[in-house]
Order: sequence, then C-alpha cells, then structure tokens
Amino acid sequence: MHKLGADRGALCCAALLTSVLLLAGCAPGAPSSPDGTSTSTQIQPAGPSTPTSVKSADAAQSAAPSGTLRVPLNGEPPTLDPAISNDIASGPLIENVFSTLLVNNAKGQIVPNLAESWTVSSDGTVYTFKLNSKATFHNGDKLEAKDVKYSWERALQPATKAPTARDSLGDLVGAKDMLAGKATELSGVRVVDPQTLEVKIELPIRGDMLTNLTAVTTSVVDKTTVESGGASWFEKNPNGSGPFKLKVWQHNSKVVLEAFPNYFGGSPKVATIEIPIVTDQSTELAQYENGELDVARVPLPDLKRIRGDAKLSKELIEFDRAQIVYLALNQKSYEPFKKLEVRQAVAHVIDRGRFVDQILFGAGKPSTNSVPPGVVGYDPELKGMEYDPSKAKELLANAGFPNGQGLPPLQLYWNPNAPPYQTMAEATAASLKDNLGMQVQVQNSEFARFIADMNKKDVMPAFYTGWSAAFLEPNYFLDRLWLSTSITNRMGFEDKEFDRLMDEANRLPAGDARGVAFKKVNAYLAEQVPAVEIASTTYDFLKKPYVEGLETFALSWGMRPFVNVTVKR
Amino acid sequence: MIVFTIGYIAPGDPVQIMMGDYKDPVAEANLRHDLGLDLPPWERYGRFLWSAVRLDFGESYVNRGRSVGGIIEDAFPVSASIALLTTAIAVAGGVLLGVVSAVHRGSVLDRLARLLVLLGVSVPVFVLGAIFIMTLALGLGLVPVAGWGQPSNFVLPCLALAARPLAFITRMTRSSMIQTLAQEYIRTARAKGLTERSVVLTHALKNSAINIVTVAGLSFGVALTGSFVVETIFNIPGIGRQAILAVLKRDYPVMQATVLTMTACFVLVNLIVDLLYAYLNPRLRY
Repeated sequence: MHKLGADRGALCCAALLTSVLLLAGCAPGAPSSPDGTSTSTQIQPAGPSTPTSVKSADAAQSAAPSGTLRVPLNGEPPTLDPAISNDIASGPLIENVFSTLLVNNAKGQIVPNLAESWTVSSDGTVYTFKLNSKATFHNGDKLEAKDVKYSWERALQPATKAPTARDSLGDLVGAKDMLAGKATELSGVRVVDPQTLEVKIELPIRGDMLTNLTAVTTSVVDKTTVESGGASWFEKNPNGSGPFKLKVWQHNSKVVLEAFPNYFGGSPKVATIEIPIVTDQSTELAQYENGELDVARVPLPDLKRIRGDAKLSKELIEFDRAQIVYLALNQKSYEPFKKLEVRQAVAHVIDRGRFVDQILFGAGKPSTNSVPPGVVGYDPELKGMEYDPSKAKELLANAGFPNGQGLPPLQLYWNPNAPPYQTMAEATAASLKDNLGMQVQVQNSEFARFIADMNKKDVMPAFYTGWSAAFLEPNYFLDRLWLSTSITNRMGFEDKEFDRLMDEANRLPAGDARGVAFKKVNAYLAEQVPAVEIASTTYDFLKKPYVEGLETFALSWGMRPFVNVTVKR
Repeated sequence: MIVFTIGYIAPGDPVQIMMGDYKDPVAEANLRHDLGLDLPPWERYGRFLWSAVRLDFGESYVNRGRSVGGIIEDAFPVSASIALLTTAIAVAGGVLLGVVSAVHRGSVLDRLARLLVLLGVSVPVFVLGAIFIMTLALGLGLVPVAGWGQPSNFVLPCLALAARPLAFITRMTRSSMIQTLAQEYIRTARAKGLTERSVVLTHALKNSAINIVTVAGLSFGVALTGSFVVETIFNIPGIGRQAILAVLKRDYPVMQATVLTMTACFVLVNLIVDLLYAYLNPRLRY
C-alpha cells in the first residue's frame, strides 16, 4: 500500500509541477494590466495652471503638462543636496530638480542652461556669464548671480564636506583658500549685476572650465531654503530651479516629481515623473513587461531573449555609455608586472571580442582605448595588444618566464558590483593558465572590502573593475587612473613619459590638435598596458512606444532631464 | 556589542564607500571626523550605548541628515505588517491543511497536502517569488509585480514568505492531531455521541494548540528577519533590506539600530508565546 501511495504521490507531484510550468509558460503573452498603478491618473500641476484652451500663439508654453512617466531608480538616494551628491541615485534626480550654469546636450556638447551666453577673455582666465533673466526658483523667487556665487561658496566650505567640489570648482581663483578654510569668500567670482557673473580661473587647468560647470555639484541652491532647513533641507521642498519640483519622497520606496511650469527653459510637457526605487534588475524587467514601468534597464542575461522577441526588440534602445571595463595590473603588489613584456603578454591572451559577445551579451564594444567613445582621444582604429596567444608566449619567454615558470601565483579579484566582472575574471584565469602557464586564483570579495583594498593600493595584485565618467573629458579617465600623482592611481603606474604627454596635451586649447595629442596618450597607454582595457559598455533600455522625446545620454543614468518627454498613454 | 565589534573589525570603511572614486582627502578627513570615526572604538561604543538608552540612534552615515530613528520608524511597520500577514496565512492555512490531512489520513487530500509541504520546505523564497511573479502577475495579471502602497502589493510577498512556515505548521498540526486523535479520551468523546466536528475541533485541536503556537511565534520572528529577500525582489521599503544595505555600506548606526530593533521584537514575540502557553495549558500557570 505504501508503494502504491508513493506512485500516486509522484503522479500528483508531476501534475502540480506541470501545471505550474504551464502557467509560467503563459507569461510572454501576458495581458498588459490596464492601470498598473492606481496613482497614475493625470495630475495637473498645482499653481497657475491654464485650462485646456490653447489660443495663444506660443502653444508649447500654454498647453498644460499632462501624463505620467514612470522611470525606475536603482537605489535610494542618500541625499538631494547637490554639494554632497556623489552617487548614481541622487545625481539624476538633482539634474531634474536643480540647474547648473551649463549642461551637456544629447550629443555631448556644452550648451547654455542657466547661463544664456558667455565671453572668455583672450588669455583664457576670465569668463563672464550672462544669466537667463527668466530663471526662478520653484517658490517664485528670481534666481540671480548672487545665488550662483552663494551655491559655489557653500560647496567649497569645509563644513559642507562636499566630496567633489575640488574637482569642479577647485580651479576658480580663491577656491583653494576656501577649501583650506583660509577664506570665507570666493574671491575669483564677482557679481557684476544681478544677471552677470564674472569668473576668474587659475591657469593651467586640467580639463575645461566649461565642462566643470556642468557638474551637479555646481547646481544653484536657494540660500534661504538651505539655511532655514537644517541638515535635511532638501527633504520636503528643495526649491531648486530645474524643470521639475519634488512632490513626494517616500524613502526606499519612490520619488515623485511634478512639472514646474515656469521653468526658464519652457514648461515641461509631462506633468509627473514617478520614480520607484527598484533594486532588483529582474523585478524591474518584470514590471516593465507588466506595464508598471515605462522605461527599464535590461539585465544582461535577458538581452538575447529581448533581441529575439518581436515586440520587445522594437522597444529596445542601445547607446554608448561613458564607462570602461579594465583589468588592473598592480605593479606594487606583483613584481613581474613591473616588466612591460609581462603586462603585454597578459593583454595578448584576453579575447575581448568574445568577452563582449559572451559575457556582456553584446552590450559593449571591445576596446583597447583608455577612454570610452565620445571622449576626446578615443580612436576606433586603435589596435594595441590584440588577441595573440603565440605572441604572448614569446613575450613572456623574453621577460624571463618561459611557459610561466618562475611566476608566482596571481590572485585575481573582481568588483562585486557587477556580475560580468566575475565571469571575466574566471575566463581570464583560464586563458592565462592555458596560454601562459600562469597560476591564477580567482578571489571572492565583498564590496566594502574591495573598495578598501583597492584604495590601499598594494593589496590586490590584479582586479577587474570599471570606471565611469561624470564628464566627457579625457582627463577624467587618464589623469585619475594613471597620472603618477593621482590619488586614485591604484596600479602603481609611475611613468614620466605618460605624465609628460598628458601635460603636453593639456596645454592645447580645444580643437583638432588637442584631439591628436590625446589620441597619442591613449595609444601610449595601449602599448604600456598599466591595465588591460577590455571594453566600453553600452546602455540597454526598453522604452514604451508611447513615450516620446526621451533624450538618451552617455553619462549619469543614461537619460537627460525629462523636459521634452511626452507620454501619450 | 557583537554587531559593533564585528563591524569594527571587518574591513571596509563607510567614508571610502561614500566618497567613491573621486576622493578629496580634505573632505574625506572632515567627514570622518564629523561622523566620529576617528575616535577610539570604546569611546564610539560608549557614545552609542549612552544615546541608545535614550532611544537616540543618531544619524545615518550614508543618508546624511536622516535620523536612524526615522529610518526605522518608516521601515519597521512595513516589515511588521508583512510578517503579521505572513504568519496569519501560515497559521490559518497550515492548521486547516494539517487538520484535513490528519482527519482524512491516507486519502488523496492527505497526499496533496504532504506534497505541498515538501515543496514549501524545499523551494527557496526567491524561486517562489520568481514563480509567483511569472504566473500570478505577468501571466494572469492579477496583481502588480512589485512595489508598495496598495493592498494588492501584499499578495505576492506574503504568499512567497508564508510557504515555508505554512509547510512546517501543516506538518506539525498533522502529526500532533494524529497523535491526539489516537488517544483514549477521543474514543470516549465519540462514544458519548459528540459530533465529529466537535470532537476534532474542540477537543483534539485544542490540545495541539501549544505546538502550533510555538511554531507560529517562531515563524513571525523568522518572517520579520528573513524578509530581506522578499523585500529586494518586490521593492518593499522594509527593515530587512535596510539592515542588509546598511551592512554593505558599513552604515554603522543603522546596522546597530536595526539589529537592536529586530532582536527586541523577537524577544517580545517569544514573551507573548510564553504567555499564551500559560493561557492554553492551565497546568503551566503559576
């Protein structure tokens, strides 16, 4: 009797499993739930809203914003204070709520924002900005030159503890004194009149002042709001001057922005932006497919399925991201890496094309460049150390380690922030073992520990990680990672020739000559291989067809502020 | 204390994580000083204790300007409500299934119940979560995939979390009932002419109640603390996810406060279970 029971039990088991799987199989043909979220009704913004009559000639101005765009954010923003913001969750929100003098357009060019126009003195040390006279804060107060000066001074004060103020504002005359606490006023910035700001900088600077002024840190804040709000002044009413106001912030749950009709750049067309905080990538995709989100990132393993799906493949948008993936070869903690031939040998056994195809699922471009596409110095023709195992063996033998003999075992780490790094580490370990006879141990790490070890600079002999930009500026990549004096040079790469080439390139003003000089630096790095560049990555998004006007972008979270977005749902 | 010590010993530094890749050493030093991270460990722990006694947990390191108390105030009720509903489902479902299974021992119903128990115990929460998303949300469109704010958001996470405790309670109820039903006094009750329903529910079940209550209490604790996976999958702003994120970013105040809160809750639940024992079993009252 028990035997009979067991059989029937097995049958029941099979039946249950089959029915579950059948149901699961129904998933692709899912009926889109009509009203995914009950809060997605059309919301007219509070304030001077003009009703539906559109009689004035300036149609864009008087048509009231309508519709809701639902876009996910990957994590809880730790702050909304532009001076303190230094992460990828708060940055995008600040870009929509506050304004900077200048911004990047979708093509990556610097265009006016709060600054309507500007002139530069002939020696390049004095910039005079004319502010847009229509600019106001969300509460209606006019935004004037003194507000810009206040915001920058605040970011430079040591009490604010702004992590990136030195990067974007450090070249202003008087900035260094402020950062050191020696001055309370920014001497290099002068308010000429309410709409005009004179800015003096100290030459030479690395990079470009105009680029620096697109940084989120330089956003303009309202003195009264900040000073009366305490440490969390931005929580309820940040009072920025950007196209959207903060309506709701439910911590760890969602952020809701609403259109600011009096935005100096013209009222946004969409009324509300709902930003749920979604940490899990597969949930994000499921929500998109269920009609609960209008835009979603595509997790890499799902790319293939989406490319092959008739409906979803039309909704897929892919574009370059300003991020590079590389394998750092730390000369400080692994002696053999001090030899050029050893580093080149390692570079020669990594099959970048295959990595991009199989590990990144095509969401990237193989590259030996040290900067991503879109940044000056990127050369799509650059060869560098291409995949060539026999050459690698030769180089290793020349260095004195024929077939890997004499090489101590190598610990290979990977940044736990993204799964592809682990796969790449393992593939590389296998390749090094097979082709060069190196002993490689792939090591696990935990994120906080990885960061700490990376900054100690002599702990991890080799590690996979990425580097992404806040500006489309070559110095952001080249200076930071490889200049011998850089704090973030974590590979022990001290090369006088590199430093010299960088200095040379930086002396040139914007133009073709500068491009050529940076290409030269790039090529030099590809040859010296302080780190093996693997690929630049791409953003892969799904966007519903009824969303129009979404401008994609290589930086930040891949999307420019939503001023021109319309949602016809 | 243990959390503090482990947090102190473990490598990783909240300021480095916050500063990210663009490090300005002066700002870093200032922040470190501001957060009190340059003080010796015993002084830090002492300060924490002193404030904790007054229920002041300070400010989060990562989310500057937000009080830890505020974070917990927001997150705790969310997790608690999920844990409560989960336990309710687990108890109601488990008892029902267990009783039916015991009473109709050997039948198809019993086998089905035991199958469910097996699945509930062996399938991990995140697999269940994914299956529910695919079938109930995407497939049938009955509930939203994820999110928080509406009653329908409770469905998937509570179902997924309730599976395991439901399975345990079913098993426990079933074996307890089988044992009880075999006793002499049940035969007496039947002989006296009491309805079967009365026999089962009033007499037999009541005597199994103690075991059920024990498991229910434990399930609540487990549901509360094990909610991290469910909270991550379904985007729920609960305390489980908050605690884990705090550890990843080395947000020490939040770490310590969340552990304190969850421990206190656990202790409270156990106390309630103990009190219920006394009510259920007169022999245990002093």
